[in-house]
Amino acid sequence: MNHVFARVKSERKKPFVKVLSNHTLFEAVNVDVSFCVPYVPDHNLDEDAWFKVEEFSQKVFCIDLLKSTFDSKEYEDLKKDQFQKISYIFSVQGGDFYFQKVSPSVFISKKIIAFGEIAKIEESAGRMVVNSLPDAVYLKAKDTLIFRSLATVSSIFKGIDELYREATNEDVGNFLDESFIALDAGYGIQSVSKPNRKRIALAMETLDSMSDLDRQNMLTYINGYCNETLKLDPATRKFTVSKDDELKLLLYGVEQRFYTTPFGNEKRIANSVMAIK
Amino acid sequence: MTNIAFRLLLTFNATSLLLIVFFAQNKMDLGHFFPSCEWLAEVPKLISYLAYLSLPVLLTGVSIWLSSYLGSDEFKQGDVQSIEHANNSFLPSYLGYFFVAIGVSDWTTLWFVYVVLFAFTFLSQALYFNPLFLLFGYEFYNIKTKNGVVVFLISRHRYRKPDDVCIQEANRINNYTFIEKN
Repeated sequence: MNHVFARVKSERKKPFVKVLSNHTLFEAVNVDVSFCVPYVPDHNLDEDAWFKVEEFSQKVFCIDLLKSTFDSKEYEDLKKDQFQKISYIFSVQGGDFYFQKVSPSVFISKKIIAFGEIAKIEESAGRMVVNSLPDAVYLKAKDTLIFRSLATVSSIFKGIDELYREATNEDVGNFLDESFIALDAGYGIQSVSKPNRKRIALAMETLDSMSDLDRQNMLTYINGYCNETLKLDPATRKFTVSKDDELKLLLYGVEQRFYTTPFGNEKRIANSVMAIK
Repeated sequence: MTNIAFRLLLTFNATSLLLIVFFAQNKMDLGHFFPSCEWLAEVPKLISYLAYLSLPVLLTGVSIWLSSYLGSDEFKQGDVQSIEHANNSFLPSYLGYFFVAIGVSDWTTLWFVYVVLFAFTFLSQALYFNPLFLLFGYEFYNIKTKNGVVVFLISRHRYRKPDDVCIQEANRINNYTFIEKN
């Protein structure tokens, strides 16, 4: 039996209440967890793809409710005055948990013309819109959380934003000080955009795991693809970075996102990558 | 709103025996209430009292039928940690109603006592123990779930072991009380 529950803000003792009985709120999300993308901040998700967090119940940001056996009888019914205080709803469907964040925008209070036998006006007050897709799904059997936007689910799973990494000013400074980068006069730490900060956080790790020889070869590799857009000084072996777009290309290079198609020899950049297992 | 109306009905059913005992104690038959119908005066008192009793019995039947419109939950195998038969534990408190009703001698006292009793039964939330359910073959159980939550179950089935309790659909009368209709 599938039920719908809600989390009520400012209820300390009993934050979870039952909203609907015997109803399946969302269409079942059938995804193969092995095709979901482990969360990486700079990944551009395909329309039909989901990020995943495996072994979710072991994580600090997992909510207690998901760790124990769920029993609908233990939850009280939603009271009328709690309706406006719902922070998220979740539908328990066949053992899995489908979450939807409730923001002020999902409450509607508008005049609506409803078409039934004849058209009539409905003053809709106290209505909540249910999205066609849940914001997150916890697949109990696989102990995996899947979601599409970390920003959306971070209000449901407090602390999940620790998965999000963005380079701090200090990290950016360290990266720009790397031996293969020469900064143009007008470009500095403050000019580095947010997307590039995410990429720097990841590129730092990649650089750390590289040998000195790989690093030297990396410069040749980048130069091979970007000799028109990025200037490599042959004497100092430094790329000159004067714009955010140039830094982006350089970061793509560090992540080895340039490639040539085997048939047709077209040079390409992959703006999102995923390891094939 | 509908839920409150339903709970008022249950409270009335549970407390109505007090009124019936009072009417019987003071020999108030149907002829007493409807003096204009002269033929009622001929009807034996026992018939009158049975007629009074039939009203809450009927309403209890209605409430059981209505309960299928309430929200529902299920009891899965293994959900229940312990089960305790509760039919008998309520009898003493229910007998109290009888003694109170026998002690009441006038209308003012009756209404006062009844209103107080009604209010407390309604607000007690935990259970609407109504022995008339027994007439319909229902049994009462205190159930403790695996996570330690205690609920009250009204069911026609004779449960003895925690594992016996496996219910597809149990309707929720309030947050602590469930009724299994089938």
